[in-house]
This record gives sequence, C-alpha cells and structure tokens, in this order.
Amino acid sequence: MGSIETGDEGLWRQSLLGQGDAFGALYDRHRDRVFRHAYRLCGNHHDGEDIMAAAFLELWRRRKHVRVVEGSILPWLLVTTTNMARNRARAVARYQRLLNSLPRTQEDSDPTADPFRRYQNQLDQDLAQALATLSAEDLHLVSLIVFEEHTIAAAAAVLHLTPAAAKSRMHRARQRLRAALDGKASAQNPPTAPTPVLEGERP
Amino acid sequence: MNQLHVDNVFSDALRAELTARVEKAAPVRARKRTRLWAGTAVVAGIGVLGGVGATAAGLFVTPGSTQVTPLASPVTETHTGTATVQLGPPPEGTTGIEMQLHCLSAGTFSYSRGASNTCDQDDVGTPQDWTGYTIPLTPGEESITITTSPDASWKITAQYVNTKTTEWATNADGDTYGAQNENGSPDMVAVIATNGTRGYVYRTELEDADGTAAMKTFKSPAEALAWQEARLGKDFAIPVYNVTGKTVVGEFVISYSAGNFGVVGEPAPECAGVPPTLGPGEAWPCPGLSPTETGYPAIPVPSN
Repeated sequence: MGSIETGDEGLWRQSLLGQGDAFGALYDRHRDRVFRHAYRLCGNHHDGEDIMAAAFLELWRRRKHVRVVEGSILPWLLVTTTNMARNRARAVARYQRLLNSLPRTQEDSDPTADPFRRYQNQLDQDLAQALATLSAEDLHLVSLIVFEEHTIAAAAAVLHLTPAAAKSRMHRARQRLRAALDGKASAQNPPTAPTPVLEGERP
Repeated sequence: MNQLHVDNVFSDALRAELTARVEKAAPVRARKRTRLWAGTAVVAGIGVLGGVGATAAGLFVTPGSTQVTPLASPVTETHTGTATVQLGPPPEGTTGIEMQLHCLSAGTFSYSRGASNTCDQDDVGTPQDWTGYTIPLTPGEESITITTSPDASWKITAQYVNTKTTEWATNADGDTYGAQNENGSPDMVAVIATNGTRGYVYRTELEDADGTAAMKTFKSPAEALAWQEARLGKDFAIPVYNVTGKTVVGEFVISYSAGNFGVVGEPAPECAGVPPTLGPGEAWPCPGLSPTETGYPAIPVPSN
C-alpha cells in the first residue's frame, strides 16, 4: 500500500490547479477505503455511500485546509469521514440535494434474505455501535491506526497531537472498544465472535 | 465483506461531479486548457504541415502568414527548479524571443507575464510535454525566468527572432485570402486539401463545419456539449478552391473525435510561425491548436 500512496502530493497539487482528472485519480485511489470506513462507522450501505461522497466533496470544498500527511491525503479523508459519520445528519445535509440527484443501481435483492448477510449486517451494526461509544478523538485514532494501519506518528500529525499523547489515548481507546464489543457479544450471542475487526491490535 | 462495494452507477456520477467541481474552480489558465472543447476538430492532411519550412526558407509566402527569422543561435539549457536563462544582448531587428519548453517532470512552469503551463507525469516524454511561445521583446530583457517548484525539471530552447506578419491578398472578386493570424480569418482561409493540394476554403463554410458559427449560438455549456456529442465520430467535408474562389481543387475534412488534438507529432517546425506575439498572460500551447486555446479552429497554417 505504501508505494501506491506516495503519489498523492503530485495529484493533489494538480487538483488544486484545476485539473479534474487528477482529482478523479485521487478519488479512484481512495474511494474504496473511504467507503469501507464510512460503512464501518454507520453499518448501512446506502449511508456509507452518502458519507463517502460527502467526504470527497468536503475534501474539495475545504481544500485550503487539507493536510497532506506522509505524502497521503488519506488520513485527512478518513478523519473527515469519521466526522461526517458522527454527525451524519448535519454533515450530509450540505450535500443532500446533490446526493439525492446522483443515480443509483436498484437493489436487486433484500439484504436480510441471505442468512450470511443478515449475520454480517448484525456484526456491522454491532461494530458501528461500539465505535459510536468512543469520543471523536479516540475514534479518529482507532480509525487511522487500527483499521487503516497508519503509524501513530502519522495519526498524531493529522490530529494535531503529540505522538506520546496519541499513544496513550490509543491504549485507552482500545480498552474501551474491547469492553463495548465484549458486552455486545455476551448479550446477543452472535454465531461468530465480532473480534476479528480488532486484529490490528496485535503487537 | 466482499459484497461491500460502492454502487458503480453512484460512484461514476459522483466522480463526474467531483471532477466538474475541480475544473470549475480552476484558475483561468488551467481552465482554458480543458474547457468545453474536450474533443476538437482533427484536420485531415495535417502531415503536410512540414511544408511550413518552405515559408521559413523564404521560398513561398502565404499572404497573412508569419515569417519567423532566427537572428541568433538558440540557447538550450536544462534546469531543475526556478532558474533564469541568459540570452545575451538581442541582435538588430529582434522583435521577440521564441522559446520552446519541454517538461522533464510533472509540475507547473510559469513564464514571464503570468503565462504558465502544467505538465502531468503522463505528459513527460510525449509530444504533450512541449510548449512553444514567442514573447514580444521588451527592451532590456535579455533573459527568461521559469518559475516552478524545486523538484520540477525542464529544458528550454530559446532564441531571438524577427517575426513579421504579411498582409492578406485580395482576389478578383474582392475576397481576401491567406492564412489565419492574430487579425482573424480572411474571407478565404489557406489550407491543404486531403489530396495534398494547397488552396483555400471559404471562412463561412469553415465556420459552419468546425463549429465556430455554432459556438456563437450556444447559450449554455450543455448546448455546446450536446452539439459536440452529436458530431462525435463524424466527418465534415468542405470544398477547397484555388485563389479564384471558383475552381474546386480538393476537399478539406474536419473530423470530430473525443479528446484528440489537431496536431500530433513533433510540433516545433509546424508551430514556429503561427502567432507572432502574445498579450499579457496569454499562453499559446501550440500542440493543441484547438479552438479553445487559440480562438481559431484546428486549422494548420500552411505556406502557399
């Protein structure tokens, strides 16, 4: 992944000069990760798309404030996605008309019909709820470090934290998240443990 | 999680919206490069453009064409980052500095008077990495400064030249004829027909075929795009006449294709003589020769 992200700065600079193709390339490059992150936070496919779209629209609208960290705009995008997901109603409102006007493929099947997808949905919802218990800053840290495998230093840079502060916050956030997920696991007894999403926790 | 993908229809529409926003917010110069005319007229018979060399040699002169005479040997230098190229004192009779810039890496390269050119990584090593200008001479100006980011590399070739635009001629019917130049188009525009014959097309017919006439009627970008869309992949032929404007000697074809530029290949000799001077902030990205960039249709300016 590292090598793919080294090119952001050039594309970003060209985007700022008005080259739509460069911005399109950035979109192609980061779309899926931003979408997965948005989905993780809201547990709903449609909302995940809206949040992903809003994050990219914000990337452009707030372009003067974007911080390129370690050659990548992804950390900034992910933080923005997190903010969007936490304040979904308010954040997406700015783009609601545009989002509604964008065409979508009709859903060909009911997601709840497939038992696997039903469990998967439940797991996704559980995780989204557990993540919702974190403070904004902790959620940013977990997103960047656990899910997207950025270094603590990079996460600290984009969040205006010292690396030491980021590290201790991260430790506490992991404990909180584990507690939230364990509580759900025992209460609802899902067929599989929801812990794989925390695999990034391994040292 | 493998069912977890962004809806392609939604994604494509979003992507189009994003790129449109970026282009819309672009600085004027950058926007001009890629505005409405994503696909420009591609002119048949373009390979014959090398014939312009004959003009430079003074053998034939198309009325209204520009004669560029080099007055000093060219200076070629390669730099990385912002640098100034010294040309020495201009010889007698110098009217401008002809420069050609090749991007050796991606970056934005600004010239004097606010003109600039941006190269993508994809442009490097292709004909698209080339930009040509003729800058009118300012007394005391003996150097060219290219401003760019510290890591951007470029190669410049510059020389003092004398440029002179000749007058259009008039035929027996009172129609002016000659090459398009900074004064606009004569009644009959010099072209090379598809059969290689040099001749003239009526400006009115040319403007109907290349969209210049239609462009004036568009009230919105959507209209222009629809017009362009309708012509995509089609050819429009107009008759080429000799100087009398009565005898047909061939035909001139304008074809519309997406994203292509009118002139391809090594552009330097073809571009050398077209616009002799540039106003403040004006760039002339010659390889394009598109209506957007020059205000003229993608028509070569051949010698007689």
